[in-house]
Amino acid sequence: MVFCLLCLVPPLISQEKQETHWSLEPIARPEIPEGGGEVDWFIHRKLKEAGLEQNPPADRHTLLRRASLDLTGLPPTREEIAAFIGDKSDKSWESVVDHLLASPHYGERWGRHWLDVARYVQGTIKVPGIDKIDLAAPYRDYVVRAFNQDKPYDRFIAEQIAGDLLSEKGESSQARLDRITAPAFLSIGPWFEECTDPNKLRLDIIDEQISTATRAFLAHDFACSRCHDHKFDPIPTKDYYALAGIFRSTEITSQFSNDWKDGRPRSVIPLAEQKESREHFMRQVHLFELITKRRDHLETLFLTKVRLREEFPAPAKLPNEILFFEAEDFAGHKNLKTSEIGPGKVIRTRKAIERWVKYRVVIPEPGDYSLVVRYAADSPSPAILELDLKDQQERVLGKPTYGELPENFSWHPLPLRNLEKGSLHIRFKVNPNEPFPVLDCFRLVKGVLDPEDTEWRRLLGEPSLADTPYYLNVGETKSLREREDKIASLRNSVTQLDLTLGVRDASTPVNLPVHIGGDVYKTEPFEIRRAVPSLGLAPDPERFGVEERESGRRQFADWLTDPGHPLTARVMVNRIWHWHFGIGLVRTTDDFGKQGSSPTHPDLLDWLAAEFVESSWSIKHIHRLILLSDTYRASSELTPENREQDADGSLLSRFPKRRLEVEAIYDSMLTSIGKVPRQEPGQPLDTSRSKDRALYILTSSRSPMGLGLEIRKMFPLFGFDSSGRPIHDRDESITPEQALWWLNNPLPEYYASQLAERILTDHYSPTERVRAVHEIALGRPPGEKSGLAFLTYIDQLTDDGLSEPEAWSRACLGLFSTRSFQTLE
Amino acid sequence: MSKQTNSTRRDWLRKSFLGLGSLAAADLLSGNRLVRAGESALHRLHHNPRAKRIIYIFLEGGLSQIDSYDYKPALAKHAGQALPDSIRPPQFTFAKQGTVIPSPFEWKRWGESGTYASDLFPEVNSRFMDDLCFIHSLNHKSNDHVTAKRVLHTGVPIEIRPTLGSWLVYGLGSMNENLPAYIDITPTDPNRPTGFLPGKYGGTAIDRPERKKPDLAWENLEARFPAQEQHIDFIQQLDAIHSPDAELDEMELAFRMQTEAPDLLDIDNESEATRKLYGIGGDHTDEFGRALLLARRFSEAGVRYITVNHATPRYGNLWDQHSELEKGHRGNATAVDKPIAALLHDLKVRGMLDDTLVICGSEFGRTPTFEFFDGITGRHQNGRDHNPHGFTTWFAGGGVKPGYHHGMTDDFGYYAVKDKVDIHDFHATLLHLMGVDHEALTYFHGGRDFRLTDVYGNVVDEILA
Repeated sequence: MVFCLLCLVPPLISQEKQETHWSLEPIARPEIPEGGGEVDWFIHRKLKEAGLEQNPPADRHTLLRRASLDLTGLPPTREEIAAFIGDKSDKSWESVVDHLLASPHYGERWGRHWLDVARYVQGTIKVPGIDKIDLAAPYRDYVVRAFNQDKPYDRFIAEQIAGDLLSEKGESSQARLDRITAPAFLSIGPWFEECTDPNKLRLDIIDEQISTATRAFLAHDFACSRCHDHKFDPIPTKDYYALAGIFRSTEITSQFSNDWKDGRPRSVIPLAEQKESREHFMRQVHLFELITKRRDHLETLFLTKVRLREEFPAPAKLPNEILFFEAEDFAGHKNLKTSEIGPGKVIRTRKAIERWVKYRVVIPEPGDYSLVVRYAADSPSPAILELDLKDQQERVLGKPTYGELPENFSWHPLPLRNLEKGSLHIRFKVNPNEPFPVLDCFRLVKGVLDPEDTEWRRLLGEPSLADTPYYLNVGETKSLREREDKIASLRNSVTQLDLTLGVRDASTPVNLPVHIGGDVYKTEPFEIRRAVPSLGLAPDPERFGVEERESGRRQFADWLTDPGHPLTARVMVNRIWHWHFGIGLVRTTDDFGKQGSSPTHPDLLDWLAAEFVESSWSIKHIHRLILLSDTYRASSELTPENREQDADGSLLSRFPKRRLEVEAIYDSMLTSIGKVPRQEPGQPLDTSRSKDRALYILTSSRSPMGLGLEIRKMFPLFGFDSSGRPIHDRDESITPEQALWWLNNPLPEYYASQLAERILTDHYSPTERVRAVHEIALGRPPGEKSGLAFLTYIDQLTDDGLSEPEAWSRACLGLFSTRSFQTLE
Repeated sequence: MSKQTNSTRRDWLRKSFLGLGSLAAADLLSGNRLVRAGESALHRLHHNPRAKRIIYIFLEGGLSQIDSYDYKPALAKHAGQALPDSIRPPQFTFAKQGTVIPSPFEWKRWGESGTYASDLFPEVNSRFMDDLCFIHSLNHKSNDHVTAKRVLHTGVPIEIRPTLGSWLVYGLGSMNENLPAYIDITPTDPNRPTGFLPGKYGGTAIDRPERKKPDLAWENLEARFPAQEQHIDFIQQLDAIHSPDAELDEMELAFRMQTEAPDLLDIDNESEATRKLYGIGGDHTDEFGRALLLARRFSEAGVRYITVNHATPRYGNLWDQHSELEKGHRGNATAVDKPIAALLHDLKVRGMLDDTLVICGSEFGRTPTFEFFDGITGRHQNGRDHNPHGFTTWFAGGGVKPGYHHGMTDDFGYYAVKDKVDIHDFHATLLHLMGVDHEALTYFHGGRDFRLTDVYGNVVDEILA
């Protein structure tokens, strides 16, 4: 069954009157009085209608902390506080806003907002049943860069949909790398490891791409139309399948096997200069040539030296052989599979993650043995050998056989010395992403076999091509070795290039028929031509018609970014508003359809959208319009009036308070101990100095202070959803479990103790210390009452026998645990 | 603790309770999102509830219905043969389907009703067979564990939606202010997103912090330092100064949980006899005995919805016998049989079984045929594949008909054929037992009202007592 959010409800609204929905009407720039303050003009007018007044501005400490956390996800430093408080000029607020917008940390904060929409999770986060999404980090860094550069939003969309197709003459190397990285937007979705039907899965992946993209850019969920015409919005199934054809003609996997166990590896491309990629490719071609030449040489030797001159008996047991077993008769394995090759079976790699296979044998008497392994390996694939879980220092089976065809299999004896009598577990394993040899079968023989000796080999029947080297004379061996050395040295010189997820047009684009009721196998008889959706907007076929030989992603991007598109700009300015105030002008930021909310201030939304397009889609321009308003600066205080008449804050009678996102909470603790050195405004971001921030730490395998596990557990507790679905509104719940976490988890305690140490070292007088911790943690000096409460608590703790650092640490922990610390107010 | 701080605490309590008048508004205003006693989406229940709470014993991986409670003599008769043509194979299986294998367990009649069941669960069967109510015709379409478990808990396979437990807490609220309303004992998935419902409706995990030790704990509950009250007072003082308009106080609730919960978690408070009853200290039954004893203690304290997962840590799927069915199922059943019988007994003695619904089942059942499986064990042809097409779950207590069997599978136990019950029916029935009309419990999100049962679901009236 296919499902979607809306496909199961009967239409609630009668379809009789087919008026254009507000969000699909052209954007009309409202006429308003000149002279600045436009945002306030709209907001105040509406407040007046409601008989409400906007709160006066918040105090300067609160304002600085608000803007700083909002724009960079970091609280202000003490120096920044002093500078802003001391700046008496009229332009002080404006210069703070500009300073923060130019900060390289701005991209880390606002890029994360976008990454929510783009459903970015990766790396060490393992969601049960979901394939791990490796290599999404370059996309993350691309998004951060794009925000920092204020990349025009139309270009940002185009790159994410079709960056690979947008090559330009004379573009800079970084511009090219950004452009090829951006389409990872299409391939970072969560895919199921297991699936009930590969054909269905393929359509599911397309559906996931369509749903994510249409919700992100258009605030409409086209996925509903997979099964039936959209019940409320102008999205017929034929538009869905026209769009699905575009994604079906776009390759994001390197292969799509019909065997579910093979997985569906995401396609990757080198993240490198074109020249470098080309050289890399040429070296690989050269390597392939060398291997082919070696093979030809080997074949000649085989035919002249082995096949013609020797006679071989039928395969026999080796002397002292006690056991023969097939590789597929394992006692356990991980990520391997049995496959048929030639007449027999082998086991081979399933996925490029951790792999192992184990066998259990019974050793009849103590002594030395040899395990003779028949295997093949394209490239050197040394495996770790474990006997009864004990790692045998040296890696085994490291010699490549230059291919994995039946002719490439060869026997290799592994000495197993001083075995005890009884059961023995033998395990071969490799670390994640290392190649694993293809195993065929094993013989266990008493005594240690000489690998160079051919006598025992002769008993194993006719040799394969790969066995040839064991039948050669010194000269022949030498010439073959020389070839192998050349291959090995070339291999070593081929450095691994950085990779990123790659997207490209399929060589033969296809059209899809409508699938009746979304069923994979029930289709209408005719195919729907790939096309951009209409949404009742009648897109110009001249401009957006899809050519036979291309997927249509370029046209989709062109259509989305058309300055006259009624949705694209509205949707994004609404998101920006939502991320500033915690509540959108349209509450349902991902649904501008008939089922979504209506805008509270439709004219403001249109005015902002018009400003957005006219400023060449500058996101920072919209930030400035908002941040320089009185509305943004209003205090967050709840008064009886605004509590009564503006309960949710959507009228902006006050700045709506909200709990900070987990990243900002974590980074606030991190920065309190000086761990995020502030980078200069206007400079490119140096990620190596920022690497401990929440944005990176969650998806890296680093475990700072040995508390990596605690950090990973903190995130979901504070509403971070790592399931890989798009997040359009963070869960801001405050729960008693969070309170318990503040009380009893080692992570906040660690940061509190570090902060205490910092304070005790830097300052001598208790009042100066109290002032410092308040400014660091809450962005303000303590009031009389909180200063007194703080010092009283310290006294109580020391009276109870705590040392000075312990007492300060405990009190700092208390400060972290307050509402203020976790709230944007 | 000084008198001073004590009075601060009481002031705070009073203050926070004053805010209870208009909860919805307070919720929005303060950003405080706690589930409090008395707070619920439903102003009153739709009808008289038959159960006040649910304990869901979840055997992760797939208990074989045809080796436990769905008696199919045809399996022995057709052993070694392919399934007859009348039983069509499903469109997709994970592995090549083998021939029919008989149940390796001994089948006999149990209880006064003389119900056929295997000897997998001798304690439960011999003592409680006549108390159990069976649905033999549960079915859905998800063939793999991950989506099947999601279907069982949330009604949909792939998308992240709220679980039955979250819906219940959202609809009914909490019965004990000092405890979470939804407890998840030894969960496989440590991240339990609540879908579109706010996080406060999620389950609280009770888990083994140290894999090698049997003790179950509630993360971050144990006080890290003494004088926590004094510490909380300090935090509250600062909050009162800086955020005077916050109306509800999670620190206060945390504190009360911290006061109440450790006692609940400490099963040393139970008599030796009770501990023994649950198999605590037993070779195989210790772990699950502790889990179920805790489930009983939480139920008693007012927790609404408790899942107890029998699963391997992190990976889950303990009951997933693709091979070695006999050994695997026997071992698993030995670990849970005695504790489950003890739970039923204990609830009965305490008079709680009347309003506690106990459910026991898996995400799916298993196929009548063996499965070709990689490796040497596959050669033994002694395991079964996943089968979501017809499987059994049993219920006991709160409002279900004792000794009743609903629905039927075909002669081989492969497909549900009579009185089929899909997951929406299953959920509708559970909500009904809790006093909730499944069509009336809705949550507005993304432009429409959502239901646990979507637009489906019929209450299975036949199983109601």
